[in-house]
Amino acid sequence: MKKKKMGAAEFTFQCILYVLFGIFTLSCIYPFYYLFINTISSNDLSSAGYVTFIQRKFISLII
Amino acid sequence: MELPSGELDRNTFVRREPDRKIANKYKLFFMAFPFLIITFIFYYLPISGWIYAFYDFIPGIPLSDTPYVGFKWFRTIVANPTQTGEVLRVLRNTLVMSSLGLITSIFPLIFAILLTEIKTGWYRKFVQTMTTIPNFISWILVNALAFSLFSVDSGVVNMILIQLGITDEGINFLASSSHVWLTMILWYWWKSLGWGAILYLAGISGIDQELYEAAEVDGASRFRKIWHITVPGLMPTFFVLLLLAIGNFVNNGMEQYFAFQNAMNKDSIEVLDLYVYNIAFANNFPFATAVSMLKSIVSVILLFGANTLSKKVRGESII
Repeated sequence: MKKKKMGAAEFTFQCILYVLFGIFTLSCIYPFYYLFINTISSNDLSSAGYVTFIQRKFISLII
Repeated sequence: MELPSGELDRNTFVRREPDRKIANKYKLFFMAFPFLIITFIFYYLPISGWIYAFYDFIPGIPLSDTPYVGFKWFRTIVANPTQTGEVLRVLRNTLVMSSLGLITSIFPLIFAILLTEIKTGWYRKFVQTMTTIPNFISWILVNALAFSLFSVDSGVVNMILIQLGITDEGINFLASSSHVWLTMILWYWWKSLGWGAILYLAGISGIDQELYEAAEVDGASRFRKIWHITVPGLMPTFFVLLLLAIGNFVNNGMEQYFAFQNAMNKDSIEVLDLYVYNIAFANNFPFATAVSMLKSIVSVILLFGANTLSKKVRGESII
């Protein structure tokens, strides 16, 4: 079966779907990701709220 | 199993049927038996606790030493205007939360239908897997996540809002008395949307593909295919779930509201189950029992009502 060419309406519809599902999926993953990066970041940074999107400065395990 | 065909086979099948039927009956009964025991222990035995509603029971003093007071605790629900107001407030919260839940119970259906429209296989699977994850953590943990994201002084959302200059001080999302119902229903769907969609996704994949092919030949648009094939195919599932939801109309669980309750939002978050819990552990066992008894009765009436309605309207019912 040959592939049909996407019309403009079809393309927009697919784009909207991808974006909507992407946002909801991100909102489902992000909290867990956030907890994880905070867990492995240094305590000072995470308690001051500097760790939001990327992990910074591994927590020192030597006390 | 191969179906019996031909004269001879069918005769042997019929002749052997009676014994097998009886044997099957016992087999099925013994298979179901453990569940009957579980149901009895966890759903029928606890009903004996209703006896506390008729005594001036105080934890620690044996029931035999406490005075029998008849329907005193049932009367207190309506005797005192403040008390009646409390119960009505709690009932209002319960009804609002349940109605919102019923109205939005179409969300998983929409989610499933739209998800199957996505053509990229890996993306679809990724979305489905990731949205199912929140269902597996408890409400207490959801509240912990909510706290780490939305708290005033260290929550990510407030940090970002302050850095963008939208607000000067953090907004206290969790301890606010406005939009409590809305945020509660949003949290609920955040947790259970992906999970709820699984049933419908299974339902969609069970629909005969020939129907879609036939519709395609007839020139049906995407919307037409969804509306005339997918939706009718999913309706039986939807209605069974709706019936069960109506049966659970007044017991919308307490974990979520218990985890999210605080002094600020208590007025609009306290549903019946949570109210019963709070009252009981504020040391008024008999009153809490009386309220929960009334709840059970209303629940049974609602379930049978919904069942009769469904029998009349759709010709099928669950009881």
